[in-house]
Amino acid sequence: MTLVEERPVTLQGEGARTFEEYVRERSVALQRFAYLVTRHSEDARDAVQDALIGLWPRFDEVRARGDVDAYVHRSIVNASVSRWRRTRRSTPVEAPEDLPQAAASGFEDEVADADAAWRLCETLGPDQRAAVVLRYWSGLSFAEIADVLGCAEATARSHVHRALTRLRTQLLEDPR
Amino acid sequence: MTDHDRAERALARALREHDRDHDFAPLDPEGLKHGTAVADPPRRRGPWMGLVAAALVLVLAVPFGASLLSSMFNAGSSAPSFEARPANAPAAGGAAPIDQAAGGPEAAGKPASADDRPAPRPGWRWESMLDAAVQVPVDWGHDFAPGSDWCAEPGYQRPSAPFVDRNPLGRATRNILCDATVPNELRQTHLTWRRVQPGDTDNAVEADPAGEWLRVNRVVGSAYLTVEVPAEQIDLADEILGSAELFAYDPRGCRTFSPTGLPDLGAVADLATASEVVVCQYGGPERPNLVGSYALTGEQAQGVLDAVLAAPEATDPPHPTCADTGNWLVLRFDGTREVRLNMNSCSAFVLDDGVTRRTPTRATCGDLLVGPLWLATLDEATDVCRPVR
Repeated sequence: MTLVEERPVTLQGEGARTFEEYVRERSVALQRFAYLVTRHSEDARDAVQDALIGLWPRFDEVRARGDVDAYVHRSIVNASVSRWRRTRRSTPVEAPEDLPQAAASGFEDEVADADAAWRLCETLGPDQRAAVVLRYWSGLSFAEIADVLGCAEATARSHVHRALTRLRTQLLEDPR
Repeated sequence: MTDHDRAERALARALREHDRDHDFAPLDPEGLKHGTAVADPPRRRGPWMGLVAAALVLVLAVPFGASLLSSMFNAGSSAPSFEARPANAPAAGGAAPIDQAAGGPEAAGKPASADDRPAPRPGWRWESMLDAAVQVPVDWGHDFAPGSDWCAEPGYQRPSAPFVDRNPLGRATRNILCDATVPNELRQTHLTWRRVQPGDTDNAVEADPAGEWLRVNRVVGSAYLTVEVPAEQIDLADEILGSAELFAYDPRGCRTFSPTGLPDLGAVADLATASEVVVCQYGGPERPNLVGSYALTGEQAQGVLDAVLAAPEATDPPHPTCADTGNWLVLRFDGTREVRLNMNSCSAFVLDDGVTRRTPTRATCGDLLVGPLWLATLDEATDVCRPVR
């Protein structure tokens, strides 16, 4: 067999020198990322724990190869996809009354748009939702998103653009 | 502002606002290094349910009420949901040698019912290895992937159906140098695995010289998973590998590493019937060392229980000086009783439930190394438990 394709892990600098430092610095942000992808706080915590448990034996190796976050993000997304498939695509989301209300804002239109966007995210599959979170929350490029999702860059781009198109259609019904 | 900008701004704002929906606490690196996250964490419950449950515990005032209360209150907290373990308990996710394991009785499996286990997708089943589990189509069998000795007499026979490799860590390979490339006519779609090694590349795809067959590789926890498929079935490989999960207890309840000490769940003789037996196989001194598991139900489970109970009591004394090589079979009956069979060659070859030691017979052990399980060493253990290929 000859190596024909290597889907590389994104190479970025890492501040944390040890696993302990990495967990201390990043575990809260990772749980927030996982929550945005899973839409469920306990699933998010579980996904991050599992990802970090898996990271620990090979932390030095992953860190030497590049971006530890990309590795952990991938584990979280994979866990989310698996859970989503296992639960027959019915992702449980937090009951709205359990969630804090969005901060009051003077820009009511923007708040309404954000609400529409949040509701749209709920309807996306985990891969597509992860692509949206990685793009608009983590600020990654499409190439970096593709690395995390383990897909082609075109696929990552398609995930995001299809979500945007759907949201634009919804917002157009409520022009301002 | 264009509609495109407006949609992008809305998404960014929505995510920014909602990432603070919950006050996540920092995780404990030491707990994570011990790899003891529970497979089925406490589930979200309403505040009233929590109060009712807490009140019940107080009324019952059971001796272990303190630990129950602790776990209940933790269910609603943002602290890591780690299983309580001895402080010096070894790691599940790391590569700690078995002989560093702390002594004392531990359950090799999780005493949970089948209802608590993660269900595979319809038409698929779980296969587990080391600290990873992956789903494959249910009609896949178990067979042997060609090794470096595939050309040796009598020669490798192409399996008739797609398959999962049987304990690739536990197979003897003949010292014969074959052509590195297996002829395509001998290839069959399959999943194989080994322990991950330095330099392994995640998400690497290899092809045979003609480009007709592909090997898609993934690093999942401690496992290096490989699905070999005809080139046109790469989506199947991606689907299988995309289902991979890390676990502390596999989908049948087997822990990722072999037991230490003796089971403390009670005598298997207390059971008159068994509706399910889960067989977990462990191999090698490095953790994790789970090499596979399967479950039997109904009459087959009852047959295993009957055979264990019929085995004669062992008279050999324990061999406390033997090093634990990590080769064990663990039988778990309905999640409530556990029997361990040490296959370490030098240790006493007995079935032990922590109460009674029994000598395995062909009737007890002859049909246990089936499915994903396999052991190729030549000793008393394989003489008695010799599987039929």
